[in-house]
Amino acid sequence: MIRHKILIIEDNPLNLELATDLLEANGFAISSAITAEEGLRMGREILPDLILMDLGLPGMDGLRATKELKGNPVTCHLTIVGLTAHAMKGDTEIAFKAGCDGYLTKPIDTRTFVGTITRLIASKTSPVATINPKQYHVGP
Amino acid sequence: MVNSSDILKARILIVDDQEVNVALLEQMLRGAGYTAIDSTRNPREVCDLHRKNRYSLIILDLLMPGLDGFQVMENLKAIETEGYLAVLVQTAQPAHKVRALKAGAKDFVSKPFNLAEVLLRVHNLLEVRLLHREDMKRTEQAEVRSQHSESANLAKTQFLASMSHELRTPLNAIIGFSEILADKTFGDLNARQFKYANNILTSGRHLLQLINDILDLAKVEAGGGELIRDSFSVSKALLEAESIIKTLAYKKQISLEFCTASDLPSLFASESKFKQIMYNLLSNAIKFTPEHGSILVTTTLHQSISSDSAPQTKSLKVAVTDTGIGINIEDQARIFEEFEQVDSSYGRQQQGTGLGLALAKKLVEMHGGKLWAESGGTEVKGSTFTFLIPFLNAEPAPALLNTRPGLSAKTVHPLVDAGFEIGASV
Repeated sequence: MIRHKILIIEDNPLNLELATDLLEANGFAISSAITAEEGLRMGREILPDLILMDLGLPGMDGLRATKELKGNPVTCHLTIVGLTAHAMKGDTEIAFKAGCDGYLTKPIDTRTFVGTITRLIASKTSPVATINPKQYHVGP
Repeated sequence: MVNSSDILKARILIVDDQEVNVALLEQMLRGAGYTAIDSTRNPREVCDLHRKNRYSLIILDLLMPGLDGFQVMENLKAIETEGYLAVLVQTAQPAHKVRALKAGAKDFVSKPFNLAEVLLRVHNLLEVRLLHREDMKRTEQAEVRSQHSESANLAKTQFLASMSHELRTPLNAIIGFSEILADKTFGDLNARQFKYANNILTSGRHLLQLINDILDLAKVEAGGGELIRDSFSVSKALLEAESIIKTLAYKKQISLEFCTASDLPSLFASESKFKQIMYNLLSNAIKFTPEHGSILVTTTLHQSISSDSAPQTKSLKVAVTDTGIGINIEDQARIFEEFEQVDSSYGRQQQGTGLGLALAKKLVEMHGGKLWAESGGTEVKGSTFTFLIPFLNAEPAPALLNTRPGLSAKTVHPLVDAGFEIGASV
């Protein structure tokens, strides 16, 4: 069985731990970064199956980091899921415009979180799957 | 009111090429108590002087060599900033009077002067001028005040939005970890640990609901005009609201009955906001209704009585009646305030954010409607929350009503009720 690689870029240690524990418990191989710069470097090195990107990072924010990853031919194919505590209207559009393939709002629902991530990876790795970002918008 | 000492302090400019006229007018005005009097015999100087001194009144001769009084008035108009220029013209020719008034003079005096008349006209003009100035000041102050309150409101809204955001981040950990514990994802818990984990989870979710409600309120207050309307079927939306709320009612064994008129046109409004209004009113009703109680939702077409001032309008009228604890008359307006719950021993038992009704009211008002509560008080038991939303683009829609199998809804005949004043009880 392939262990899918996930890179989590998140500056809040508890939220990082929560996502890490949930995903590791379900067989994913997790790497993490707490700044966008570190995340960009690791993204290029690891080429993970999915990046969980906190959009509200201090310094370079997740939206800019997403744009950079999507603009780089080495990393443009990576699946990126934006994670944000913003729940304002229009945030979804901003995230997809930046290049996010999916979008989750905090607090995450631990009961559906892993399933959502699994589906996103499956749709990206399956050659016939078409990506409809809207499908993965999960929010309260 | 203008007091007379202000009138006497007003700056006056006398413009006349005849030295003797200037002297006469000046002497007369000083004699009457005026103190700030300038004069010039050169009409070309008038604009510069006015620009510098901003006269309250200019007494202007019409016939002067070089530049006549009509041209002076034209030039003055171009530099006037306060929108009101008090010019009193002096003329010996009756034909000039109308022409001067047309050119912008506010009044005239005839030569030779009747001194008493000149003084009275000067006084009257200055009074009007000063009143105008006071009025302008008041308008300006009101504008400044409203700008201040607008920016204060915006600051409040932005603060609420960013606060909600900041609070969600730690809540992610609180809800997430307690959820994992309660779900026993990483191993079993004993009964007490399981209970505590669920307590944390319940409180965390309650806090999240509060934050969401605050954010919703802030959004409504920030962008009142931001309403995306669409035509939708009221009965279908009610059905969807019911399906969301059903479990809550079921838990307390409260019967939930819908009574919907069959002649409702489709509503041109925001469907999601309509459902939110229904959800908030219904969850409020369930919250304050004891077990085995009942809730009735009556939806009708409401027609206002036409009057001279307002034409007849058709509105959707939805009334949510419960058999709950009731609301005292004096509390019936207060419950729509943010964070208010009537402080009865029963009410205090009720978990809630205290924002649901405030939000429902704001959402109804965004649609140009009204929401109010009626209750016979806590002695009688039971309350009715009613709202009206006017039909826009009201077109008859196909009757989609009461197609639900197995529900106790009964069809109400189209009724016109104008039985009570809208909002009078709020």
